[in-house]
Amino acid sequence: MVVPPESEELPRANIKRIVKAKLAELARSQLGQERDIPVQKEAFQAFAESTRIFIHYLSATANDICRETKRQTINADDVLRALDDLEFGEFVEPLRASLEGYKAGRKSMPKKSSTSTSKRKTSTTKNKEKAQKAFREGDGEDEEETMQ
Amino acid sequence: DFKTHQLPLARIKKIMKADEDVKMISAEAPVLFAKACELFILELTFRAWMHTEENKRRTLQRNDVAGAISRADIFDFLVDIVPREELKVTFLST
Repeated sequence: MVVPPESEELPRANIKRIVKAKLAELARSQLGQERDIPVQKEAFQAFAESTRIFIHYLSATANDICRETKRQTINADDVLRALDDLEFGEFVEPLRASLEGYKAGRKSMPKKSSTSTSKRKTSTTKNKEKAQKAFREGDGEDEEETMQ
Repeated sequence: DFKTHQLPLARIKKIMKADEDVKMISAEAPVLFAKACELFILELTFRAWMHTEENKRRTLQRNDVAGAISRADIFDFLVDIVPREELKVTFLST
């Protein structure tokens, strides 16, 4: 089985933002008022780690789906089908809507080319196991500008 | 409500490409992943928060994330990533 080498972490600040916003919303709906919910630093770390492994897990599954139809490039449908396979089917509709918005926004811009990586053939892998083995300590906190 | 992504596409692409099995990725894929990750974090946050509430605490702890993961089948793949602390912690707080 091929194990992903130590992969990058998602920027902690972005994760923090998403978590805090959701907690503020939950507090608001439950208590009827804004309240800051404190979050343990280690909890943010757990969110970041989990999301990174989610990416590996979803990528591997989408990749398998892509290969099944003898293609090389993971496309939107592969990702959406992968989400279904992994029981995250409720994400599919919001993702479709989000993708349409993205495409509409980029209609006037030149087409981006596919990205590629240097490759070698691998045998079939157990994606869950792979995702779990992909777990490594990350680089720690940093910030990164979000991209369009 | 399409705005800038909450998570950087370049970083997501790097994480995807860390898997050697993953060859080529269409331009749309990181866009979908960014949104999927956001939804994933929202779901995990919600469930972790429920755990915090059940334990009558004000601060969301790592153990709440672990608790959320242990309860939901869809988070099965994370069970070894964020393991639960010893059970005695749960007993003491209920």
